Amino acid sequence: MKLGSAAAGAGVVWPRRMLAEIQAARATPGAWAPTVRALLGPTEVAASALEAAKSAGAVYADVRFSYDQAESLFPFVGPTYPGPRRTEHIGWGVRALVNGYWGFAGLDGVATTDDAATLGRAATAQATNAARGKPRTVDLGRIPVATGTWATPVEIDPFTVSYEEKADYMDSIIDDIQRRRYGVAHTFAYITVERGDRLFASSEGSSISQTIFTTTSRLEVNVSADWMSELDGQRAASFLSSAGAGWEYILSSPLRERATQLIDEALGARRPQPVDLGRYDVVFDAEATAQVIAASIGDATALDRAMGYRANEDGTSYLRDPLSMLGTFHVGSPLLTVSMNRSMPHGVATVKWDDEGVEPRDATLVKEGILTDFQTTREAASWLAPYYGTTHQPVRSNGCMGLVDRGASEPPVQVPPNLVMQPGADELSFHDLVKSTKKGLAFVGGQSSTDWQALNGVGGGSMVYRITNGELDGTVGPAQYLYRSPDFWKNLVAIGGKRSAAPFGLLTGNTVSAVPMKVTNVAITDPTRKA
Amino acid sequence: MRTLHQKRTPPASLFAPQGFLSRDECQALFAQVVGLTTGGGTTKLRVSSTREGVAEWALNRTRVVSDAQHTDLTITRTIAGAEGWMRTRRLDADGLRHAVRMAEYLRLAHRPWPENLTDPYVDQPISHPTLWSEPTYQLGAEGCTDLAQQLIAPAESAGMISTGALRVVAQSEAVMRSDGMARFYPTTEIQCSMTVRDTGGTASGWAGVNHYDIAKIDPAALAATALDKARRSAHPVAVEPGRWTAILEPQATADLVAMIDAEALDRLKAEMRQGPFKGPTLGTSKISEQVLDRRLILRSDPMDPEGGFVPFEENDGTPYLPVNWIDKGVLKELKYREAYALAKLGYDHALLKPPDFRLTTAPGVPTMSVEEMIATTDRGVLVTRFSGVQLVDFGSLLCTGYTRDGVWLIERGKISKPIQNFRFIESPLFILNNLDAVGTPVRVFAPGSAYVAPPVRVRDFSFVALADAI
Repeated sequence: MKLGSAAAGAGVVWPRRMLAEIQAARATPGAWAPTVRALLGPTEVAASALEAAKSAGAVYADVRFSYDQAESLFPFVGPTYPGPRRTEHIGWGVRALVNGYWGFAGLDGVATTDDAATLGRAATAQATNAARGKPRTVDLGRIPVATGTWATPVEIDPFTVSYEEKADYMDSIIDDIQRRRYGVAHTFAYITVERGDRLFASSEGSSISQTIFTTTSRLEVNVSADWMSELDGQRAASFLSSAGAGWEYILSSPLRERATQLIDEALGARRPQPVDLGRYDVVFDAEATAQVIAASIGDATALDRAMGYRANEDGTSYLRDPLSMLGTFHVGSPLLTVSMNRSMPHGVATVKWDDEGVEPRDATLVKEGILTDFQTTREAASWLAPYYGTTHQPVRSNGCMGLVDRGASEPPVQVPPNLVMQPGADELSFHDLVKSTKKGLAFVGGQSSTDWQALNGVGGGSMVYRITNGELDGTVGPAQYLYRSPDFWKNLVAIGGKRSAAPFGLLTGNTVSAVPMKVTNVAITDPTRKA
Repeated sequence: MRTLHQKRTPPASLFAPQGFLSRDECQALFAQVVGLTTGGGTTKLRVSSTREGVAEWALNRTRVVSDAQHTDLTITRTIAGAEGWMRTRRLDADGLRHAVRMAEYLRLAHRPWPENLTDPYVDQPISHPTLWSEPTYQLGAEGCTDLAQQLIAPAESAGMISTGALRVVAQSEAVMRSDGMARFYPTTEIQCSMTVRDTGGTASGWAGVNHYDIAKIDPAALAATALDKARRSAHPVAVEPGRWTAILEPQATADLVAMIDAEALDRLKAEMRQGPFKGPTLGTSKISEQVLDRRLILRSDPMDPEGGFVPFEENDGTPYLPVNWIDKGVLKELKYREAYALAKLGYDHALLKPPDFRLTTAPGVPTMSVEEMIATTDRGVLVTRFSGVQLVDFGSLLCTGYTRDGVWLIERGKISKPIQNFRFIESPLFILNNLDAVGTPVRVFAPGSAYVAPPVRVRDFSFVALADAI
């Protein structure tokens, strides 16, 4: 199914075979159900784990099952790319609470009723053992009993599309891009589709199953070295990242429409002008903003970090005294409002229930520059009870419990939710922000990271432009921006409007929706320049 | 759906008696996999089977104690030189059959690899380091929980906050191939690390180590070190970033030396003009040139008494050999695969770089303890460890990151005060060429790997900015 360059620019090409499959998939929603149910096995397996935990003395127990499938594709199957990969991970885990102490037992594979009971007893035994220490209290609060099933709404289950068809589709796009302009050296692309089938049941009576789809892709255009600067050019598509969606995510991405722009940008990036180090007014596009939001606000407002629970691993937070900072601490300028959710359409962290059976609520973490809430789990929500009490809010988890790496056979931990930076009232775009800047820089795309307190950070752009008199005036480099979170966000002077908002799926397993922004007085340095 | 499930033979219990799969169990699994294959060719099964006991604590209380068994299988089917593989954690018959079929199906999308079309397999001997310790295995999650209480106690009674983790791993790594390879290696590991902070958030100290044998580490001493560092690091003051004489404790040295990794020590990459060891022209490398200070040796050896590791590559069973990658500062070897050896060197043995290393001094080189280094430093900084180290430039191995959990100013031979953390931009190759003094290498914290590194004193370490995180 090679589509020649004749099809180039004709918009998204939906081959007939795919259309037929789309229609078939639409006609039978929940076509996935039989396999999931068959693998999950009878609910007695889960019940047996809970029963065993309770009779061993657990005051609360929950059991999780995960069946995660992933398929990765590297359409250029050559000696350097390992070709298609399939993984299938299956695991069980039981968590038990005894006298304020948590125990956990996990096992990979399809468990029997007896295995599940053994897990239940083992988890309780670990909790009982830990409970010999000094007293500790855990307040899980009350949550409504959750029952039912849910699946990420997808138009095309990516596992119903064959490997060959996926590879052909991507190959045809790559062929097209390679032929568009002289100088395109190499186009790199990959697609990973994931499907996670989850079961959760608790001793409180919750029993739910969910199917979560994620599609991740990257398209990167590399152009050969410029004859003068001897620099290569590279540009990755910002419209392709990660989404809680099926194969339609790839089909609906403007791969062909935007290809020429990608190539032009890559070619244009090969002769960067040197930049004087110092402080500038900087305009960030939506993607660059999303990166800074995730690295600074996202990490800082995770309550387990802020309370010191992850001090020995990822780190803590500069918002280190949540109870005294909530409602008063200035995270940034009044233009900054950031909320969290696990309900955004196509969000990577979007679920109906989190991994404690909580239906997550949308919460405003930062309202007009003031810290107003944290990302929480059931246990963590109780730590903020005094604040919630004085502000007349229910003490309730925001629903941030999740599974990582190995799925259900590892203890669940707090995970990042989807984040939304609220757009400004005025309908400004990236280019409007550039127009309002006399002298400055513009960062497009790129990465950003912070230290272990989410306090000091550094980031770079895939493209960095000079702004002169309101116009983009050629690329510059190498350049990176340095920031100290509270100071940086105080200097936020303008943000884009509703129409400029765009979501970006991040490697951390969540989606950040952001708008372009303009920040004054940003320190610009050379990433390779030593002291 | 229920009837569908009931029709199947119920799976056997997944719990392995030992907590992980034994040699016999791995072989039985392999026989089962081979029995499911169709279409000829060769079959490879990698089994990584683990029992993991973890006690994690936070704010002086046990946060969660976990006891888990993990099994990872990778089934590779190679037919006519093209291979396809599938990873799974299902050990039931349906799961295995599905995985074998999937590997055979995915193979169709692959081109033949030259390495798969070489002569018949000849077994190469592997070394046999001791990596199993019965007391470590017996410790389990329960032992970790009890030990954690003892590690928390000193910090708690000093009014400080301890957060950390004790993890005991008993693991078997097996690689079996239908053309004759049968590797199996059981290992144990204890990982112990903790951070002690004060209640006001003005101080943080860290200590950690991992080892196969609990008898070779001293958790109580680590707890004391973390507490001591926390106490001494309270209320740090800011000093100017810039080029400093820096004393790096062994963990800090290892955090940077780890960046001279398998990617950098790659012969093919170097000859294709990539990375720090590329030669002046295409097809050349820096082998036989001096790349580090003449006092240093960068070595990896499965039989290393302090830093031994599983003696074969865990995916394909290729033996790891004892290698001095850098000997007395001179680059001696770069890793290569079998295909490279066949094409360029005329033999078919790969030379692989394990993720483990020992940075040590050449015989006869005088060493200095950290205390002696401090006593002989007029003005410098002492670094406990680095955090968030990222590669900035592959060509020079320039990295960036932050100091963390204890940085002190040294003045006139004494630690004078705790100072704020820095962000740095520096290359391990640069600092190991600017070596002032070097100490005795010790085992440091590198979960799942074995790193042995010395404390070093280096000139002109480039700290580029203050980072006031604590």
